[in-house]
Amino acid sequence: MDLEALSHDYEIWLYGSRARGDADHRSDTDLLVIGDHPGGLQQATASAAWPRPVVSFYNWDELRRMWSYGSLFLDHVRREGRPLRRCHAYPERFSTYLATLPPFERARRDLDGFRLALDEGEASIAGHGWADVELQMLATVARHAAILGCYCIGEAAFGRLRPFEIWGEAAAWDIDDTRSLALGSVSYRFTPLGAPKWMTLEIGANRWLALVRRLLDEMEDAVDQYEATLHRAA
Amino acid sequence: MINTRRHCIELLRAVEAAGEDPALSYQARNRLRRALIALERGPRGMRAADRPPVDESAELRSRVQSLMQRAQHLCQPSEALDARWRHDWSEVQAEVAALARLLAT
Repeated sequence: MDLEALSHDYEIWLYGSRARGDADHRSDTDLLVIGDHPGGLQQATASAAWPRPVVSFYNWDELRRMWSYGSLFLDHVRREGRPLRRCHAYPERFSTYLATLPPFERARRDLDGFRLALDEGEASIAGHGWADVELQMLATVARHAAILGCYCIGEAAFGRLRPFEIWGEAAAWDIDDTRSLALGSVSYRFTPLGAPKWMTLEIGANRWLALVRRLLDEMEDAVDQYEATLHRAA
Repeated sequence: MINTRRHCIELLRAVEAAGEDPALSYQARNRLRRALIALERGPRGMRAADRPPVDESAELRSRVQSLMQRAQHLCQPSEALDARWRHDWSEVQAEVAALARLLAT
């Protein structure tokens, strides 16, 4: 057995909008590289085949830990990912992980974390923090929260807008509120820090932050019910 | 008016506090970014006579840039990844603590 070759073995998976087929001019190329040697990472990032590659690199030990708690990221790859390169030694290794992924165990912990992040972000904006930085971080919080909410109600969704749309529909939000939350999140995430556009974006920030808080408040029941289901199944 | 150095030290201490608890790895990532931006830009409402900390010291600037690069690896875009955070946190914590000490001198 060539241990050297094994240690350099890796997998590459495409996920995100380019795997889904709804990539646009703003889209990066989301690549997952799994291996115990950074050579795979270097190969993936050096590839000229994909525009703006954003590479998530995990070794097999990290991957196993993520699998153990039913990682939502792995669930995303399971639902939408495409293999670009499989391990030579064990080509079904990652696929097997995906096929046997257990339910996500950290919904409550994540929701509590999102709430703390929102509290701290709002306090920073009210204090001496920079609104563009805080809003950009909170836009990621909002998106992750919407993804978690959709997962908990059994309608898993990823992407830039879809999780907000699904949650809004499930929670009977006014369409304008859903749109404000979703589009605000996109604007805050993709506007470069310090850009003049932030002066305009900050005008609607209070309303957007209130919508994020509403999202988190409403998710309490969804997370409680989801975790009750998990405990019953255990 | 805010004391720039004291404000940045407080932000760095908040990073250290979050980093000790794996359940707070999501917060640690945000707190680290908040602290590094404050070091680069200075706090909002900074006294007119103050400059952003990175402009005062080449060593500070170098440490902040190094920490920003390390944080990028540590904070994958898709996952809180507390396992990696626990493993690499000791190095980040040492750099955060060193930054706080540098600011305090």
